[in-house]
Amino acid sequence: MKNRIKELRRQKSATQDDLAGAVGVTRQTIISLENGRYNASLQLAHKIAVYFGLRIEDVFLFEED
Amino acid sequence: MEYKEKLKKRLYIAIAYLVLGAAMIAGAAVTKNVGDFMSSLGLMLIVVAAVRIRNYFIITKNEQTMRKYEIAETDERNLAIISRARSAAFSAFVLLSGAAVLVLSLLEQHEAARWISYSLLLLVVLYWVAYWVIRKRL
Repeated sequence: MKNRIKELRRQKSATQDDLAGAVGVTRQTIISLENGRYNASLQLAHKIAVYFGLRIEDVFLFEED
Repeated sequence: MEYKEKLKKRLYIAIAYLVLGAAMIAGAAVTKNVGDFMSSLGLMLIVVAAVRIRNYFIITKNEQTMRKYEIAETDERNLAIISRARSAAFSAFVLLSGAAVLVLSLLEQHEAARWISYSLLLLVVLYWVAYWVIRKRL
């Protein structure tokens, strides 16, 4: 699943640490999410979407296999 | 704060380990059995307790450090890594034990092969019990 975390974070001028602290995860988790190596849980996806003031589907791009 | 309470509980458990370890060593010394299994176990408990008590004071040094540790402990990716690592270790243990049973049987080491088979059987039974309990909860 692709996501727009990196792009949205840059638009907001936030660091990975800022985002990590705001949603209660480690910076490494944010790095993995941005690189597409790790898929967030629904709860974390919701927190990230709230942080950017968007809906989950605006941040995470679901792809059908 | 919930995490602070959790840490306090861990500290009390560590203190209990410390007391138990000291009692075991004292017991072994009184019965003139210093160096036996009881005193070794007691020493191990004291070392574990000392590390845990030290960790408690490092983590609770200030709010920022405590928050950092709390995040590291509850981070969902970390939890996923732990879960996957346990799963991989379980699979590896089952495969290696199975191979060991085969090799030991071929070498006619039936007693050792039997004990490894028992431990393997116990592990599989524990897996199914855990599976059943977790399935009921989820």
